[in-house]
Amino acid sequence: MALKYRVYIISLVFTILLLTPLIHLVRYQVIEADSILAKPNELRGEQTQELRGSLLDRQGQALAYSEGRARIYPLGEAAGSLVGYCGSDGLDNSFSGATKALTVPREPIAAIQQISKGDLRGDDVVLTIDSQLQQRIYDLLSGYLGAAVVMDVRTGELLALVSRPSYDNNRVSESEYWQSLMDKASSSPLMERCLQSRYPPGSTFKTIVMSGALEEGLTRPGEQFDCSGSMDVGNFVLNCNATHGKLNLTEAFAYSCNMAFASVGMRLGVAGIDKWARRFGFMDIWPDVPGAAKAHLASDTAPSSAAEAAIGQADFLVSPLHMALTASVIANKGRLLEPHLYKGSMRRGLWTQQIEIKDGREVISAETAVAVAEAMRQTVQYGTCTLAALSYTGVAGKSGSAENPQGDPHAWFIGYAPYDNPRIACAVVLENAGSGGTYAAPVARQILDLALNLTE
Amino acid sequence: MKTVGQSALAQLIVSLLLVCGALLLNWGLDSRDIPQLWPAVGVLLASYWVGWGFTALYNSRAEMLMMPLSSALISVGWLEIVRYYVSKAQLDVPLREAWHVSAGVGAFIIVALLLRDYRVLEGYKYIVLLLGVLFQFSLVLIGSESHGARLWITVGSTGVQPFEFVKILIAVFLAAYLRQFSKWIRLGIISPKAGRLARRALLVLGVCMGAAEGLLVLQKDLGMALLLFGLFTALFYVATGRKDLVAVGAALTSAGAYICYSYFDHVQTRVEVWLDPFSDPVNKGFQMFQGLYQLASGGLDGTGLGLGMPYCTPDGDSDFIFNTIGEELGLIGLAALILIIICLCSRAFRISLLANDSFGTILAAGLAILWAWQSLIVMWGCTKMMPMTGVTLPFVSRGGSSLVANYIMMAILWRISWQEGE
Repeated sequence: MALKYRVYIISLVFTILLLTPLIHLVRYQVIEADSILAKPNELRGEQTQELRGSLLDRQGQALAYSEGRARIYPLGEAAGSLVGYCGSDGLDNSFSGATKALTVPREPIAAIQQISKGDLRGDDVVLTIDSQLQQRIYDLLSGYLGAAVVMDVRTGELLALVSRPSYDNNRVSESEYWQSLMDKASSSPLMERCLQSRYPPGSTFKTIVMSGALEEGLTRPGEQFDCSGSMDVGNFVLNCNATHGKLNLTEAFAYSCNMAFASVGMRLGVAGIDKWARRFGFMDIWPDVPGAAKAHLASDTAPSSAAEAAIGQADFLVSPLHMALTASVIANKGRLLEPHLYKGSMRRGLWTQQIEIKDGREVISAETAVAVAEAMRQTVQYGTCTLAALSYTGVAGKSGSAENPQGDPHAWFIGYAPYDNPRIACAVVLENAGSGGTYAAPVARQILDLALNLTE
Repeated sequence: MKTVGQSALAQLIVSLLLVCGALLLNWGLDSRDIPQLWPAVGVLLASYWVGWGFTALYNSRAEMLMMPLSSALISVGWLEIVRYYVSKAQLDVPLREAWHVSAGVGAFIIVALLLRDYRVLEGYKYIVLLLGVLFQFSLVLIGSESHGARLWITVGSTGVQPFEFVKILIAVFLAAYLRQFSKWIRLGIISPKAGRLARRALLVLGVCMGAAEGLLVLQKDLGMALLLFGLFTALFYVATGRKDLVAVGAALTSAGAYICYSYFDHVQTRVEVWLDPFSDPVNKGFQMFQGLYQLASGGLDGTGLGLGMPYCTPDGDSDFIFNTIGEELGLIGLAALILIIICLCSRAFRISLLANDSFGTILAAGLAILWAWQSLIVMWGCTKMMPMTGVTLPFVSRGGSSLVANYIMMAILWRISWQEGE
């Protein structure tokens, strides 16, 4: 019967077709196997993931450790985008070389012997992060998009790098969870914001303009300005946040007067601003802070751009780390200590490598730094940052409200405390939250309070 | 009685395979405790033997070998699924998957009991079609999207993939419709009257299939669209023998495929990845690259059960389970798997060849083609012989809907095989 005959034909056709995958299987599993295996595959390079060393915080608490073949991240979301996961651009991946297990012999018996002796386990990497502080600040930023950098100004150690929103790096291998992150891509939960995101700095940048202009003798703290509320800077009119009337440079800093700083900025010029931003380390690469992005400096050299750049607008972008560093330079009387995240490596509880704290380099003279510090203190005492004041110690700070194409201004705060004997510098940015003095300053007050109380 | 003995032996071998595999897993996975491993093995063995016992006791002259063959596929797949999820510390999956198998066996028994005479399906062909359309439409209304395609309905905590069932309904409809009209289509060239009827039949068929394919394309489920197209073409050929019309259909589909390619970004991405997964191994080509890496690291004899790293491949338990098996069991394991799939399809084709009415023949052939063609789409995708489309490997991939649907297909085939002897 013709019908059955055709069934027979079709069954033969399918049987033969079902054998065809074997052609490619032989190709990929036998013939080309070695050349495929020779390709770099980060994810699978960790054949000995279980023997990888841990990532520890400054107190020795684990930030990442291996349990069997799984990599566990105890802080989860609170340090999700910072620590990342194997194969991401987070710290666990950056330090995969340092924590890598020693080579396992190919011969199985020898391998098992070595493994059982525990000889193969990789080094533990100790970071400067303080888990508790990290977690507390992460909780504090709940509801915001943004970042907070906390730094020990005496050593350049980064105590907390909090980025919101974040993700639970223990769960990235779950396809549903991953999909849910992809669905939230518009808020970039995978992005580490402290080191890698760049924002316009807004008025926090006046710290650098003031430092540079004082250093070059282009102004002095007592110089008088007259703010009329707006100013023609050549091809457009720059508006101030208020009509301040007569005020000196320190007061102009405290009230964040755009007029005064636009004129100081135009004296410096774009080249001058560029030069001072570089001296503050904006274009440096820090070997002990893996993944830190450089700033993006203004490219337009018209005088009006100098006015815009001086108030932190223009096409000028910096990371929160850069602004925390700026605060630390003022706190350290003009010296820039190299920031670091890496404290050292340990093997079975003993240091195998430890970072030395270098003396740093002089960015501005101590006199200039003291003048700017005084202006930052007054900013907190009566200026735009009164909400950052702590009852028990002096705080120096500067707020910023950075205009941006995405919506409300980014709320910035940079500063340090205690004023007399600086320990902690911080930078806070809250994306599209509004005015820095209103939104970022109170958050920064709580961050400084936590950092002063939780760390030595 | 001889077949019962053979079947029992095969069933025993499969049970042994499962137990040995579970032992190896327990041993291979860092001797870590898998708390639900043995209860799950118990559920699986009970399901296999209940299903087998049902077929043996009810009518030992009907098809007896599909049960052990499907159990073998499930066992291999399940072991790799367990292995995949233990590495991800999701320890409840093994038992959940085992319950899916028992649900599948339950569905088999229910369908086998209810469907006393499969020929009644022929009379209900339009209702069957309507049911299929409703099922598929339900996705548009309440489906949830994943991987750029909308394929799931969430019921409570579990996802149901309606198309797994829709494809059976479509196979039944096609078989019934083609049996009724194939004569006219076959004779369409000779007599004018037959030509008229043939044109009408073809038009109806074309509209139905076009609508089904269109719906699937709109839902971005190109794997299923391809599956449906293959089923339709092969079954059309079986029923009518009109190679010229098959060629026209193939030409139209190629044109359709090209249009899909130019309009859908995710299709273009898949084609790009297919052409060169090594050019962008971290982003777009990530999954395919990891999949091929799995095959390469498996080599001829595999890394051994529980000793590979399949968890590096996203969906290594479903879309890429073929590669996961290739990694841990090697080329030898995959060749054996392919042979089991061929055996299963051959049994289904055998039922078609022995059926004593043409509806049974076409329906059984349709179900056999579904299994064979679906396996092919997966295997070709996983071995980079064509772009990845993301359908399940029958009985092997994870997924309750797919398992239950495959058991239902087996129940229909079993019923057809029963009638063959009468």
